[in-house]
Amino acid sequence: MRLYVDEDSASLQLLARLRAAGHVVIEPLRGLSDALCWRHAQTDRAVVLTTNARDFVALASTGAHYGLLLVYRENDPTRDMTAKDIAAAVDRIAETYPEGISDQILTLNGFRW
Amino acid sequence: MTTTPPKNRHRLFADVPEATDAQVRQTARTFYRGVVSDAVTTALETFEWVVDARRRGKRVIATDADMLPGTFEEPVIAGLERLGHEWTWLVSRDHPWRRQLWVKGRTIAAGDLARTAAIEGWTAEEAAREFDLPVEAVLEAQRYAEMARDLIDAEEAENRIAAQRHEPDLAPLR
Repeated sequence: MRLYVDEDSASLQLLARLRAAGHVVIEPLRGLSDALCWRHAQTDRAVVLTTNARDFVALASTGAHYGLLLVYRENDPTRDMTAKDIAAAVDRIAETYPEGISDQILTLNGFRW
Repeated sequence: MTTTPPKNRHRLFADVPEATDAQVRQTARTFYRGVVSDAVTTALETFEWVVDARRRGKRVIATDADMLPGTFEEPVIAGLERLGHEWTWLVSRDHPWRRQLWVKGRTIAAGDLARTAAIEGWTAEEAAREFDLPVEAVLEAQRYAEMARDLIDAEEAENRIAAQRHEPDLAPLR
């Protein structure tokens, strides 16, 4: 899967885990607006991964896109997703949707089997 | 040209003296990025908090931090998080709905950074390395997150609600 990880989630560990799993992770932009990051990801044909659901769902509604993956915080240490959990859930999405997730919005929390 | 306000919003008109008008607008500019409705709503919520406390027989007073009693209630007033605090690494940003502070020069909300470090069990040094930030910026974000916990929780809840609308009813079977 070709991914753009939003800056607020782009820890070295998450990027490394995703790359180690064979995903192509484009370099996150720094300090730029969500709209610019979204446009950058679409230009690069990348699926966007973010915890910022409200803003990116709104951006996704503006037109065709390459997919949006959301992670939400449950404020529960036993439920909140670590970088390891997120990378594993992305793998499951890639397995479940081999044709890609264009124009789809999926929540990674729903893919922690 | 006129625009129709969203259905769940109501327009309220009030005749007030010029000085009150100026005071409301100044408050909105100083604490709420010029959004008058946020200033008025927060002022009313604060007033209601005072009324509720008085109804329960409480006194509402101000005191020095080192004179605080063992138990007390304190209102959380959106927009005042920065008051009395000088942040070096955190800044406010124009954002349509988020009011928490952000790491300077980055699109990382202070609460998100603190939460990620807590979820991962990272020390401030580890979190700093993970996000290529100075350790002081992480420590400051963690201090702020403690102070503005209710605001950060509320903003996380907004994102959680938005995300859960896209949660599959049933994860695919393997």
